[in-house]
Amino acid sequence: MEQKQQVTRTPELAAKNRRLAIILALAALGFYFGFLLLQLK
Amino acid sequence: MSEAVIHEGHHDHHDHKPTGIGRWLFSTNHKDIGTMYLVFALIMFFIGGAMAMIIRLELMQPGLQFVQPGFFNSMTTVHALVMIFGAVMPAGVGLANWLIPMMIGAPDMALPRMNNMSFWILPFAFTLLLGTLFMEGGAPAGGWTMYPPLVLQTGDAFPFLIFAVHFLGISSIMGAINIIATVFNMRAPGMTFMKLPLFVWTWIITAFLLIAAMPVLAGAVTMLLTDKFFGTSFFGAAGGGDPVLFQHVFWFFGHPEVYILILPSFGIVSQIIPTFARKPLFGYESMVYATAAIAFLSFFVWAHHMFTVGMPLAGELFFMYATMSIAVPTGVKIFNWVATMWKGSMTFETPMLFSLAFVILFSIGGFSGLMLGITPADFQYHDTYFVVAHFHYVLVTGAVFALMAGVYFWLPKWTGHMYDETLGKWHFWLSVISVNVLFFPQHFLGLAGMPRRIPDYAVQFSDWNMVSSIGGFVFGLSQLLFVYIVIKCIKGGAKASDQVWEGAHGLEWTLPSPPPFHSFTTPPKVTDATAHS
Repeated sequence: MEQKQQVTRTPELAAKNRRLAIILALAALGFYFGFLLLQLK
Repeated sequence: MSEAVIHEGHHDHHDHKPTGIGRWLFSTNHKDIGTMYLVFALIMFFIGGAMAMIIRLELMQPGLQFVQPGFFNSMTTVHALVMIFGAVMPAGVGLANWLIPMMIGAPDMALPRMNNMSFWILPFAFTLLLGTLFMEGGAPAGGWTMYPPLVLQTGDAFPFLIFAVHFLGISSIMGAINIIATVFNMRAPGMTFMKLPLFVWTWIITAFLLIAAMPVLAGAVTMLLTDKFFGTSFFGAAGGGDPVLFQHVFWFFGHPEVYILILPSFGIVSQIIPTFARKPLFGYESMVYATAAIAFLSFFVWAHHMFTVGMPLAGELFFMYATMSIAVPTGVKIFNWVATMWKGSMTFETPMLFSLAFVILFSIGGFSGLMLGITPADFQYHDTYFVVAHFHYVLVTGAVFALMAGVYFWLPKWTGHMYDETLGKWHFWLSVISVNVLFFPQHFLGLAGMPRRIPDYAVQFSDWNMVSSIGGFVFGLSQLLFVYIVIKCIKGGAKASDQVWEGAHGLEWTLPSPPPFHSFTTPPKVTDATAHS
């Protein structure tokens, strides 16, 4: 039955996906604001 | 297992799919979103192409014939923005959407709703950008590089340009996040990183480039916006700012952007050449490392776009040598493609023809890039048609040819029908001849001193401009044949087998043609035969 598991539907994987997305989005935002702050100094 | 799992299995059996406009508006299916990206890219390819035709029409003869200089400048500016952000990038993302889940044995992208949003931002962004063509003062005309102070003279179109660029950046970053999350978290058991198809590898690396580079562009255009409307002077010399700063910032984004455009194409060609040479890809691991090396080095070469702006000798030397060092990993890739073909049982179907043209013509673009990377030589070539010839060899015979190769390669898998091979070959030969008639003479024009971004020129440039324009019109018309071939293939044709091509390997070829709406709802078994080798 393990083979039948629909991988997108497991809450653990969905949470893992969300977590990685948030980390990457924060990295992108960090580049954006970090860069702006660098120019403001 | 849980009820949800059994329920999903039930749906898979019937391959249920939504109908009507809602299927596309609210789609979370990677195949539908991939199709939308590809159709959008094709529409933008023709809009940008129409602008190119206007440019070539005006340049067919010296003097002003058809359009005003301001409108001509808008055409060069918007043509570039449309082709880069509207055609090539979305086409790459479309292929990624269709193929990455099928290649890694995943049922869909990791974040399907965000996938929907990433796509639907694009039509809004391009409505903002293309709407400027009908505005008081016209569309942006200061070049796609948006250099201040010139860009700050743009009329009502200015904020529309800035917000369009912001939206495009947001869309690209969301797409990149989705691709990374999909490959990192959704691979089928046994699909290790070193078993991933090269197309997937090139997209992981491209996605990291997007996340690092796009925010820098967004930051730069935000500063343009505040300089124009909120009284700051980041780039205004009168207020203590520095216009050259913008050039540094723009190209810190701009050079990685070049690789964002070309790396997925490297991936496509790396899938096609082994298939039609009927041999495994030569030097798989070195291909992965070379791609990563190109991406890494792309952050240290930006100032080769602005040698003539004036910078210390040490800076010029650094950027010259750093630029040349990119030729090493690129050479590794070219060598590996050629070595894959060596003693292979090659056949020359349309995808292979486009891939072979890619290897040869992209190399020409690479060599002219090396010439431009030599600082003292660049002082001669800078802002001439030599640069235009160079980047069109890289982006048209490079990126666009590889994308077309990819469409021909996977179209039978997507539609379940074989495309018309005879017409495909006609499309290839018409394209490859006309594109060289179009762009090769531009090397001569540039070396003779013809500046870029001008609607009129001295009479000594007349002959090669005429030749270039004729090549342009034939190339433009040839692409209508591509649309006909694609539509014909969607509507019918010989039934495609699951594997489609005799030498094809990879998980996507284990699925039926066309694949079911929901594929790999149970993880596939990854073996050596279904992995890249």
